[in-house]
Amino acid sequence: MLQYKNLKLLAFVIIFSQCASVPQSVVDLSSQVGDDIISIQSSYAQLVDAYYERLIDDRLDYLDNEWYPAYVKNWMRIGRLQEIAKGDIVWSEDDEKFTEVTEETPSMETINTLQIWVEEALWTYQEKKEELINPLITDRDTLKYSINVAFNNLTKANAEITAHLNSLRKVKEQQDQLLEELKLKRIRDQINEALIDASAKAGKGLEKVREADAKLEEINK
Amino acid sequence: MVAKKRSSMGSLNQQAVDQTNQQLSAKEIEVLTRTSLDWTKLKPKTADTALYDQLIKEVKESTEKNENLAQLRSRLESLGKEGLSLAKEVISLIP
Repeated sequence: MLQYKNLKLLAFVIIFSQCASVPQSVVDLSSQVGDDIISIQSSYAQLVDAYYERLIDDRLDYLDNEWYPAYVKNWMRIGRLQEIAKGDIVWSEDDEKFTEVTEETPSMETINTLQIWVEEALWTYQEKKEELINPLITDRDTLKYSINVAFNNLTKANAEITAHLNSLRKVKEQQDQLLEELKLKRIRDQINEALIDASAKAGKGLEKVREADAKLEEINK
Repeated sequence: MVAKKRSSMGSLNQQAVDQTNQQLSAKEIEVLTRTSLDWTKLKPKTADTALYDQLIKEVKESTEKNENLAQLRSRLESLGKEGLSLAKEVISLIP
């Protein structure tokens, strides 16, 4: 017969934790899920990058092979490249227009005008590129941010669950040690097994009640 | 290297840009449509961070309680005789 003091100690031990067990594999599984979430996050980010890179490449292909060649053609005509190259005209920043070359016009002005012409062409390429690509980059970054927020929430939550499971396990180990010292662990295990068995029987009983209910409903119809 | 300050030739250049945009407007619309993506459809439909934070806080508190409980025995043992009497005191509080 258990002594009263031991009974009180047993009650104290039971308060320590619930009877349900937490095997190490549960903690390991939860930890593994955490690692795998990080791996999936990385794959997801790479997939988003690869997809947007394809979209960006398509737009750059249009810029390089269609828009820019057409623009250069127009710019050569409107910007009077041939006349500049021949040394017939130069650009006047003061008048904001082309002026005819006179004998007094230094040849350096022709080189400066050519340089301005080229800089305009380069400037235009950069501006058009940004116009085509920047919206995609913004969308890609916003999408990646929202994906990272979601994955980070999952990772943080899973880490807390793992820590909690681990803490339950530690408490369980302490409980087992105390029960072992009191030579009561076997009794606790027997109670647990009996409870599991009773729960299974109750489950089967519920199934039979449901079957009976279904038959009654059929008869009533 | 692109010049930092644009020349007044820029307004003339803008005419070339406008003409090119006009010539290729249909093609450009086709390219932009083909290479557009409604990123909001790919955005994960997960719970708010605030809800996660709230639940995580609650789980964390519960975990800390368990950790304290798990360390109770070793703490009592390290307290020696005083720990033993404290344990007895706790047990005596159980009705």
